[in-house]
Amino acid sequence: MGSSPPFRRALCKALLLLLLAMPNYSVWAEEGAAIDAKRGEYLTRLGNCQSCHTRKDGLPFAGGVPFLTPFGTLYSTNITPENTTGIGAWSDEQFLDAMHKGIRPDGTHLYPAFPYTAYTWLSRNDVLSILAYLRSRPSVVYTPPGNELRFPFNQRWIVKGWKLLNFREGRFNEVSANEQISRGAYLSEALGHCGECHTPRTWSQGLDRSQHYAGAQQQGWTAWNITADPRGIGGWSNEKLMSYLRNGHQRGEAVAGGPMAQVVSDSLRFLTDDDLNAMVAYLRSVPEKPGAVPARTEISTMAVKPDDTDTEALFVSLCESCHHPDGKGLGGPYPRSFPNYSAVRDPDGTNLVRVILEGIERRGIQDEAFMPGYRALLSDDQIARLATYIGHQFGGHARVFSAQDVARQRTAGAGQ
Amino acid sequence: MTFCISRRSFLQGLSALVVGFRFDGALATELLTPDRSVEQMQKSLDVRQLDAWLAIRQDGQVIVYSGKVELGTGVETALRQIVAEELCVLFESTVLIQGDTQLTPDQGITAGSKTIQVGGAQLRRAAASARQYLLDEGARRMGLDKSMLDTIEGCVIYRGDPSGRYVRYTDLLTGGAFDSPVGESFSIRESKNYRIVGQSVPRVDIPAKVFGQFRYVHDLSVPGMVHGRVIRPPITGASRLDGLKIENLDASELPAGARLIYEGNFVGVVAEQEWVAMQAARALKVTWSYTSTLPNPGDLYDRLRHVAGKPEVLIEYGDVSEHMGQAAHVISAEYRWPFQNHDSIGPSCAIADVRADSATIWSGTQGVYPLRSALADLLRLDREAVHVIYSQASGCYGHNGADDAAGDAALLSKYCGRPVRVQWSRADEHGWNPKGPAMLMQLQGGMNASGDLIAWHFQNWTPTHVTRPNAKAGAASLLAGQLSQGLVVQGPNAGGDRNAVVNYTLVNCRVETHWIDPLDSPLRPSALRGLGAVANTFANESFMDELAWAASVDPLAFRLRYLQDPRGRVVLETVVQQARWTPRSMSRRRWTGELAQGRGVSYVQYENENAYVAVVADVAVSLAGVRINRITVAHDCGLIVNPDGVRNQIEGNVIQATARTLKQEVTFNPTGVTSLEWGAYPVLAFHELPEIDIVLIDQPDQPSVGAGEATSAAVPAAIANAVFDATGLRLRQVPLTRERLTEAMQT
Amino acid sequence: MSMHVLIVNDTTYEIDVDPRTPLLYVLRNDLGIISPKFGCGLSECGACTVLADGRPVRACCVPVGSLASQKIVTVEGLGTPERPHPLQQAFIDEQAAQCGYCIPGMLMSAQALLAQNSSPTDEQVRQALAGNLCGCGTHIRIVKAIQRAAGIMRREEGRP
Repeated sequence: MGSSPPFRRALCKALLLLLLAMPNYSVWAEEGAAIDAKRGEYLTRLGNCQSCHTRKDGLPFAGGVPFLTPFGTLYSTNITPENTTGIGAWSDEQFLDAMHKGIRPDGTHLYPAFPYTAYTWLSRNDVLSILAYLRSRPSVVYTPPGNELRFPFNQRWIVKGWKLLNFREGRFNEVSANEQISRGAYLSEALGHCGECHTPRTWSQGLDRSQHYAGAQQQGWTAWNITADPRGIGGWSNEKLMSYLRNGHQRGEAVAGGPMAQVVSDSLRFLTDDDLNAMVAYLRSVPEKPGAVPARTEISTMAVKPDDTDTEALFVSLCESCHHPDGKGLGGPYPRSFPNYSAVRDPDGTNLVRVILEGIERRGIQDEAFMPGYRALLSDDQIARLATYIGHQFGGHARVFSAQDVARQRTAGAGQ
Repeated sequence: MTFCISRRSFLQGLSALVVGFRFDGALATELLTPDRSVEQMQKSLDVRQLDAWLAIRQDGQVIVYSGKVELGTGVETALRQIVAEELCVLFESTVLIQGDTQLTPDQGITAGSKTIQVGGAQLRRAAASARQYLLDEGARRMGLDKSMLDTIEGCVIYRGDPSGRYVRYTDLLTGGAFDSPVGESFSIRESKNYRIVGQSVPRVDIPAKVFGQFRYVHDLSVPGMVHGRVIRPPITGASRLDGLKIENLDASELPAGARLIYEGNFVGVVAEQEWVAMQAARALKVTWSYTSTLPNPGDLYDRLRHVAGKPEVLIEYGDVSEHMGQAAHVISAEYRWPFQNHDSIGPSCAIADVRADSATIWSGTQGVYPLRSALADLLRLDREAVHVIYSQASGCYGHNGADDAAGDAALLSKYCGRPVRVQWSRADEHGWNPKGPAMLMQLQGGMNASGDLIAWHFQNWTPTHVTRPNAKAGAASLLAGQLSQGLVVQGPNAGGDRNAVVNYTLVNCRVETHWIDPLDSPLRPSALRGLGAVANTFANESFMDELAWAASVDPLAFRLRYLQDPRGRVVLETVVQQARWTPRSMSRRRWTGELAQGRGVSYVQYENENAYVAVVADVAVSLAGVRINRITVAHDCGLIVNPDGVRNQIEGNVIQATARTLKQEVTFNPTGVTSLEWGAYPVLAFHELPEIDIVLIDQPDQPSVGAGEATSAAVPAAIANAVFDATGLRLRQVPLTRERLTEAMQT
Repeated sequence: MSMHVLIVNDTTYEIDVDPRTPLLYVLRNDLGIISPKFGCGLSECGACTVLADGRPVRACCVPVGSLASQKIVTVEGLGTPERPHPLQQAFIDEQAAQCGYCIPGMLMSAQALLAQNSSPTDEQVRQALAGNLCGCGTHIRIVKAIQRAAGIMRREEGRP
């Protein structure tokens, strides 16, 4: 606890926030906030614990979600209050150690797929509120599969070395004189752990702080550059960002799929206006880093369709009924403004192929979105041709995807 | 219990709507009455009477009344062929009235590949008896001895008279009725004289289907009809609805024009416009509480083993224990078959018009009479007051949601006082229809030093495959009854033992089935094409292959050692000849993911006494998964009534069984089924089509047996055996996915 | 609710409907055109396929408000028993159906294909039908029927 901020300043901040905080469960790092399971529920949502601790076909918080890392597969743990397979027997201090220090009750180190690198910044009472909430959840007897890591990564002591390189324990300190920005930073960095996906990693798989939010690959998806770069979110208005974060899409501009769709569904749509505003203010303040995917303004999409009528037929029959021309269609979460999507403009095509394979399920504050996954309905070749067609016609690039590209994505990094 | 965003909640619209009705008399659209091509009349339904089966109208049209119905398999045509042949009338002069509790005799359900085998035989007998009656009557009228008469094209003719003295059938009947029992003595025409049976008469239903004129139950409309939707609880598709209770029902956001209806845990909405009903179902917010008893998906097969009762010994001879003990090699294997679903492209639909003292229901049910019993119980009406009319639905491959949809419509109609059409959503059908049960098969085989099979022990663990509507279960067999009255699913032990026994001649053999009560089956189980025969044959025929390889004997030769039945040997020998089978190389090298070709063989006699089928599968295996290049089938179903119809059925079986073997598995979690659309539970896609080569072995002098299911039983093991031939990997759990393949490769 | 003009099989209809209503329900319930079938409501199965200005669209998802002035064609507009379209005749000749529920969608997708490509390969036919699902397993006959129809249409137009 050596680096905790001066207590008095925190207290002032807490008082200030008490005045500011209109919604009941807005968040701030005040040490003084009471431990409260209801507040813990809000924090748990913001921390998005559920997405990673609830496997497909599993019960909430029972764990078992596979995380594919360069060193092997890790499985999230059961964090229901069950005594033997969950965390029911953990003391407050043991839970704090896990969240703040990445240390398990037996003293060994947690693998950093669990983002204690972010949670270490959470205030003690916030952590304990989360714990209070988790303890109020139904117990589930479930033991997730054992981790499947290659030697030497299956040795937990190796994490100690990793921590020396990549982890600094300590509570959150304000990042800006601007109250709102600091608050947004706490939300984004400590709770939301946006960087875990959006910040590239170093050779040692630590977050590369010099490339904060510059975009990275995660669980088979590309997490985009969310800095102020024009190829990031530099061109977005605050309203647009807010709307995107809570709805999971911004008509004609952006849609969330994969892990981000989950973040919206399980976490962001529950944020209060104040907290969302703070988050947006913070995101705006993040120094810009050059992005890789050309912005909408940089590309010119083809005036003529690619000369591939077979694939066009596939596109028309599979895609167009929902993604029909703008202004005429279902609208809402199913727009047709393909050139506006990074997934389409990205010559790498990771998310384009991925979304065709997996589809989308998302619930925003206003609407839900569903796109079927075509994994079982289309061949690798068909998906490759569709992605190529879409990229050429709408993405402004000439990448030709092969069946092998799709096959690779099919088997690798499917996440959950 | 909360469950955050999920495919389930989106697809089911778990939160769904209500408001007051506004009916303004005439509907905008012209309402269509379901076709009734024959005026309703008091007619005999007594199967002992000819009038139950046949009538001949004054215009010469022969009306065939069939309790077996056309599910899309072509039997409407084939049954008419049988009658036209036996009665000596033109095929074109026949018409089939099917599945109507006021018009057709009770022939049970249309299932189990029994329409031609059993229903056809009943009609053949009725037609032969009718012909006999007409001959007798003609002899009397013409004053001639019966032996001098013959029948042709609807007439009784005098053979000896070149000028052609004849009398029309229509002139021999009063009012088209026979008023005579189905006789005991009559002659069945000899197959060598057949003109219609054995011909590929084009199916009578196809033209209307390709011109968009065919009226499925989905396309019917009755005057005053409203549209209904049912909002279902979580624990999608579970057998047990323990502790289910509605905690809160919030209808505040129902669109105008929609009305909420509920009884117990049955919650529905109705509205004039279908789209409004759909919006309403999404806008209604229901909070449920319940207790989930579903296992985690990974624990499914342990659960099956755990909940089963004492085994039923199906067959036992010799001394298995002793010989297993003495065997030089004992080989054991366990095979797993998942819950599977119906591939009906159109989700179930039904229309019900329930009045105070009567009810009329249009349904795609497989059994109008059993459904009538269930509905009468649900509605608390006399059976005779309930009129169930079959109307063809999208293909059903067993007990899908058709009966349940009828129950839904009936209950909604009862409460809203209007005819109600209920159209299930895709998620309703994928989630809530009864599932083909998951099964576990365990085999042990003992061989002596020279590789002879000296002991065979088969055990399986299976839920019953039959929870269909019936008089005993009544409303308990319908989801509407289970939800509204808290009744529980029930059914006799059936189907899971189908083809558990093999048709090989074995010396020491025990076959036993551990039955699981439907309530202990995680998901609501019932009949899916082939029932237990599919999983059991997958296990038996995979195991035969394992034994053959263990004995270093070609899998074909190994089977022939133990197969005595000459018809069985013929199909097996025919299929290998057609497929140009060559003895498989016994040398195996470790497969490392390169493209590898393989072929496998499999054999079954369906239900141990019906159609003989042998299959050769040619597969290509790579890291991309298993691809089926070609399936060769030899098929003997006795006398073939309509060869093209049989081919069509076999092709369908091959394609569906390929999907079942490679792709299909109902996924679920403790809150129910999670595979709620075609992306999650797919059918075979066009790019995955195998070539199909079929050899039909006609047996004109043998009775016709079913051709609708047998091939499905033989295909899975042929594929698994071919995968082994290609890679040396024995995949014992269906579906044989890419993931299971790579998993097997790594272990 | 608002008034919309729909042109279906060369007949013009004026209907009062919520523009967000998917075309399928308008065709089936308001216009009595029953060949497009409800299968999934998710654009997955193709049973509801109709042509809109020649393009195959899934009527279960396309809102009726987006189709103003487009020409809609369904199986009813393809041909009649008296004047069958070559595709319809070919499906009969090949006996390319079991339950037949998917067939209207197959026909419309096939029609869209043949309008673009009068001599498709089998591979191209299968590709064009990638979005149409069949549960009974009549796929092989369907492909054959489309090839047969393509042949008839080429002959009718005097092409090889």
